[in-house]
Amino acid sequence: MVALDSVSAVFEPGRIVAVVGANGAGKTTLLRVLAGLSGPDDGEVFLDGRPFDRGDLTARRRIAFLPDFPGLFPEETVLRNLAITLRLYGADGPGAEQRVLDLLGDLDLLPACEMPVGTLSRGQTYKTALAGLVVSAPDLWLLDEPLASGMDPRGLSVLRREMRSAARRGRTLLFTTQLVELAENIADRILVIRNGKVVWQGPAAALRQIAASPAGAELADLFPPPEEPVP
Amino acid sequence: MKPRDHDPAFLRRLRFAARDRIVRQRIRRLRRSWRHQNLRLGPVLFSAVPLLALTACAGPGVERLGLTRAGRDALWAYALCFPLFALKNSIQARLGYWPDVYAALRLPVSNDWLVRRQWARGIRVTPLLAAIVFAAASMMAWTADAVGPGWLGALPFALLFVAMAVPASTWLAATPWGGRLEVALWTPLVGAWIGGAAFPSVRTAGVAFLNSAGDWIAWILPTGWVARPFLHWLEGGPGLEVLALLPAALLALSVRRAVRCLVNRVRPLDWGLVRWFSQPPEEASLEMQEALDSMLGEKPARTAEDARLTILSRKFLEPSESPEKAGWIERFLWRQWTPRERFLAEIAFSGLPPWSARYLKLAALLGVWVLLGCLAGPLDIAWLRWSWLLTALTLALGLTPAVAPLGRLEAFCGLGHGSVKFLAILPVSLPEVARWTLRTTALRTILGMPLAMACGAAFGKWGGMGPSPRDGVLMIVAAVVVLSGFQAIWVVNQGLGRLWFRLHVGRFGWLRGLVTLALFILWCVFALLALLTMATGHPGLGIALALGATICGWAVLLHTCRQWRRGGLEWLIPPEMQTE
Repeated sequence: MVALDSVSAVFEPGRIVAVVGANGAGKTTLLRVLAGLSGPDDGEVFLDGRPFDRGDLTARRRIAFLPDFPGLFPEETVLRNLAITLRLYGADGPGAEQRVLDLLGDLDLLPACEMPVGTLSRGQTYKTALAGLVVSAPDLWLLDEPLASGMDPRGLSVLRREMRSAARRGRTLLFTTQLVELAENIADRILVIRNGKVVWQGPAAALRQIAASPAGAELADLFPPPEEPVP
Repeated sequence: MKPRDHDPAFLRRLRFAARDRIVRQRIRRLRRSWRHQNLRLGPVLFSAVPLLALTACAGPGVERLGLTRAGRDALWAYALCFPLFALKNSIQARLGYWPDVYAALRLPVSNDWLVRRQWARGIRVTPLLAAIVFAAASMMAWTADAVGPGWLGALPFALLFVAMAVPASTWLAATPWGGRLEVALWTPLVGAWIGGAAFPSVRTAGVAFLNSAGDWIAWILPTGWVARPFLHWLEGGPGLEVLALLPAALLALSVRRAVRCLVNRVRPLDWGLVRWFSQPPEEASLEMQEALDSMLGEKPARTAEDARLTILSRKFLEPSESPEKAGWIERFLWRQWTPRERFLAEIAFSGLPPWSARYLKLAALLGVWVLLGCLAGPLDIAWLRWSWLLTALTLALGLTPAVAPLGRLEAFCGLGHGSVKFLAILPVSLPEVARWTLRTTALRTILGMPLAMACGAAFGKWGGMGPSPRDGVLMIVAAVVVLSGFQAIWVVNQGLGRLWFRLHVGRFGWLRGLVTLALFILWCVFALLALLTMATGHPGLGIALALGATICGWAVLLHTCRQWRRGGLEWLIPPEMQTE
């Protein structure tokens, strides 16, 4: 069984791309390949036109991958985890502290900032990792299921705001989701993936129209009919 | 409510109480460490080892040791104390440090119910102990040449012993001096054992003591109340010794009273309250409060304003370690590391490890060991000489990081679960971590080698029990060289099981996996050959073979780093990241 098959896509700067698909479609695998966590059997990943090498730390610093269960140090505090991330990304210069303060305030994490991450809820853990990513400001954001990460509405609101802000600054953002409606609201482009193959990619605004047309029969199941009211 | 293990109602309520996530995490963490501390086999081994060792002494060697009948009875009564103490420890382990007590605090359960339930769980090792006692009784029958009837009586003996041991251990668990009594029995046993093996005079004195005080010992120790009648029954019929069964029976009948005493004296719910919720009592020491805070990992609640000031001070972005406060080895390494390596160390250790303190302790221990070797040298006992030499070698290697490589760093630099997230997600590469790890190890080895080699020479020159000084030095060098190759493998995978047996070969490929495995096997072969040639008096060849082992180990590391760079290590991704 192949997780990804003949995937070819270009992700342009300043765009937010949603990778949409059902469970097991290969969305996370795509992000892992892009992040260099998995190597493709065939083909290559290019970053700014150059083959991406995971041993190249300069290239690695331009990419941040945020899994749906973030990899943080559970015994370290929120601030310590943030410091590790920021220093590894070289984003700990002057002004970083203000940015951290603002973000933690927005995410309602200030009271918990000296607590070990292992004692936080899943949503709070994700917020911590998100704060690290936002302040690190990499060129390519790879977010795995951020909308199903356990964050509260306030966190989701900050996520959307920061994604749009980063896109305006010329960053490239990819996120996976199964919620097409939300993907349409947030993303500029949508990439639909099924059984490891890209079945459609294009502007987010066009997805619904295509799916409704005879040519988009493959996409019809993305928009299930409204449920009948329970009598 | 009757205490019952796996009581569904209780477990249901427990789960309900533990629904709170933080509570659940704490309980899980504590339960894990609790399991480590209280392995079921622990108490059994604790009783089985001394019992069987004493059986070996008191069995066929009774006559050889020169024990009289009273001395033999005392020795058996003494030996049977260990299963009893094992049972006491099992009960206390569940009463004194029970992680679920945190959840129990939130439940409508009484201290009485909790103690009875935990007591019932504690005596679950009884069948295993009965089996050990049965084995010991069979040994007694064998030594008394009463195999047939002896085995018939061994089972009732074991059952009677357990019936007496359960209340006796419960009484001991309820009293504060139970532990002291145990230490008081253990210490002379270990002392007599070591001293008796090395010095015949100690053995003679011990046997003389048992022979003279045997009757008293067998009457004082409750285990003697059961052992003595059995031993004399084996010899042809009970005499007056059968009267000893009377106090044993009375003790066995006191089980309810013993449990009641335990319930009255042991207050796990109160301890739990102190431990988890409330401030410790006024008389509690500051150390206790600090220990509790440290255990819970809790700090006083901070306000948003405190947090704001902390963040704006930028202290959290500064290196957390101050090498000036560290030991001399740590300071030396800190100077050798590049800024990037210092940062890696900061992340990996979260506080520099106490390498210097460990070095000093080992050096002191080695000094004592050399002294012991000098004293025991004239005895010229082969097994003692070899056990002494092997221990000395292990201690000497401890001065280098060869046998205890890196502490927490292992989990960090290997491909174990702890490092996976780090290496996979953050911009850190396996080759740079491996390079830094091995450089650190090499530096620590260089620092430790002079003393280790001096110890090697001392074993031969002054110990009088090892090889020549030159051989001692070469043995240390060869061992360090061999183990440095193993360190390279260790860096590749802390816990080889993940690499060899659970390898997801999708990207790595069977061939590359086999190459890695073959290199590891080669390391084993070279290491074994090096050991054999050193032992047979060919140190030059031994060193050459040790170098071969090192090359194999390093080849494993290089091979893996190369594959990592190519994206061939898919098992770097932990399961929770593999959502789809």
